[in-house]
Amino acid sequence: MPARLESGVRARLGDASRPWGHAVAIGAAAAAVLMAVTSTGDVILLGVLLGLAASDAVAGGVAILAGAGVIGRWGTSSLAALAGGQAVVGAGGWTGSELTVASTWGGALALLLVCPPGLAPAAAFGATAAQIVAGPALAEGSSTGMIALRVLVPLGGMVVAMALARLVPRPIARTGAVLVGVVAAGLAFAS
Amino acid sequence: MNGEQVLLAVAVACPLAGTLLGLLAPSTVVGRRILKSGALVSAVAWGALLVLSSAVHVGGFHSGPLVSSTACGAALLLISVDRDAPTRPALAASGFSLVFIQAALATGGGGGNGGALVGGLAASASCALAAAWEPGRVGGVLAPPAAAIGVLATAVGVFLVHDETSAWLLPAVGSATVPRNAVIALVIGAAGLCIAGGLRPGRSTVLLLAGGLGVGARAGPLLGIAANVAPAAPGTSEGLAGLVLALALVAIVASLLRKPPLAIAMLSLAVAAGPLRLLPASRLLAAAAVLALAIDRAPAWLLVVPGAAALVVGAVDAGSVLAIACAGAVATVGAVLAGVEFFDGAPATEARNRFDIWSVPTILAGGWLLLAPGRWTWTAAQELRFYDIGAARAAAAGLIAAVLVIAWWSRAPAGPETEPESDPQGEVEAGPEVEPGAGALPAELVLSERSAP
Repeated sequence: MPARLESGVRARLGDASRPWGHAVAIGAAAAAVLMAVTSTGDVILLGVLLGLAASDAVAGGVAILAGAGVIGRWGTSSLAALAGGQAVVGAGGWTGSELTVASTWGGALALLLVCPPGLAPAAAFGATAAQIVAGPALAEGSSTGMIALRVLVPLGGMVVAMALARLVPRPIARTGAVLVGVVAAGLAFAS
Repeated sequence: MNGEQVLLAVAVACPLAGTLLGLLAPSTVVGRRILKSGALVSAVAWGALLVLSSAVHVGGFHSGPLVSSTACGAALLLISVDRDAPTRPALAASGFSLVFIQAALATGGGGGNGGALVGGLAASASCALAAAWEPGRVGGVLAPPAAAIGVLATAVGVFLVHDETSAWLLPAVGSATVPRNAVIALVIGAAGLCIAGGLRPGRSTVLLLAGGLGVGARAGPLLGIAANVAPAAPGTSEGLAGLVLALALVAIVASLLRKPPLAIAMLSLAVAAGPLRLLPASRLLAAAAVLALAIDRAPAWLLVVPGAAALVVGAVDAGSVLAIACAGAVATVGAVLAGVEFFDGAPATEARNRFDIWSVPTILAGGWLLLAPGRWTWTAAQELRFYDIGAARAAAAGLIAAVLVIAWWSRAPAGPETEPESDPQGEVEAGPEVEPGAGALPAELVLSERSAP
């Protein structure tokens, strides 16, 4: 790999001055992506992994808040049950009452806002947000277009997360994420 | 004797043998190692009995899920002790503390013999306090009265049970009804022992945390079958809301004081005294508290995650206000712990920050708890099977990614000699002298790091 490209990739992956801590963060991000994409595991564990991926307690707290929203809406902390629920009644982002839809989008927005700069955290937070808004229900029917859409949604989440991390100042993004996360969780339990 | 009985005999005998052999050792350092070795063998034996779901008797001792788990936890906690005074009396007191607490927990049948429980706890607490005697510290001052209250309240609870059942055997969950006041006394006793044990990591008093959780794990669920508490059918009790909330409040205070294991232990007691549906969560939280105290490092409080997941599932199933309040308490404690870590990044005063070979067994057990809590069958947390699957996959992916990243960063750095044109002023040092890990950082970052004071 050319040195300039390698340097650029390393810079995008994050702070290279702490390789061991960074390895933990990358590992946590990979674990979170796998959990979100395959819809296995528990939203609380996923929230902890996202916090580790971001190396940020606030990000972890927001991720767990988003998980609380999922629990409030779907009545379970299992990602498999979340996927099953969406496969039966439809994607969370446009199925259900106004309150539940708003809480779903709020949880996803909080995740995207709190995502720190970097490719790995963006992939993890983007995939999780996509799982909350539009889980495997999208792939129902298994047509090529739907499967492509199923792949594109997490990618879209990742792109949005990277864009927000670049465009929105971090203090504003973190504060906004906490507020939106609290409101989303509250809406989920109130609905 | 069959194999399980041999295991039980080994589990009970090893702490005593380790203590006696440790006293014969040429130095207290060697003696402490022998004592820890005996405790380790005991922990392994109790763990094996736990995995086998064994329920056997040897003499007056018996094994069972709660007995084995608590005794195993006590042995692991003794292995973590490294801050007692380096004297032979302290060594002896520490060892006998484990001997007595295991005798207290394993004597009798059913829920345990009340007399042996109280006597064993009193002897164990006396030995532990003697081994960890530190009247000059706040924790050292608070631990003796907390332990005394714990033992006395437990004794009161046992006497109240005796008044009702005319027997000294504590009833196992579901086998009999007990008075409401007896359960309250037993849970308060458990809380006192947990406070005495959770205040000072690394001292012999930590054993009292296991004892307290053992008492709480037996007493808390008894509320669910107490006729004067549960007017509805057995299994639908809501516990005592006031007691649950008081324990949750203590947990929040402990988390503010940066005592995560104590906070988790209090949550475990609170949940144990709550709805019966939350029993698996209570047991997982108890395991997390013991292991977090034994590990005694900052990230250890993350062991609360499986218990929290089980609690969420249980609270949603139970659907009651008290169950939701228990889940809220766990969330609050988690938020406070995270907030304290975030706003006060300095490590806790006495937290370990170096590698210790004796912490390996507890770290392995903690990793097992974090990754596969559904496999801890004695907790009856079958609802976490999806958690297990996801955690296993996540661990695999995370380890692969982490290894790849470490391998990448440990490669020879792409030194400036590959790009001499990017450093026209020649201020960047030659490649081999670049700091490990700084690797191919942009030159301006490397320079700014080195110029920093």
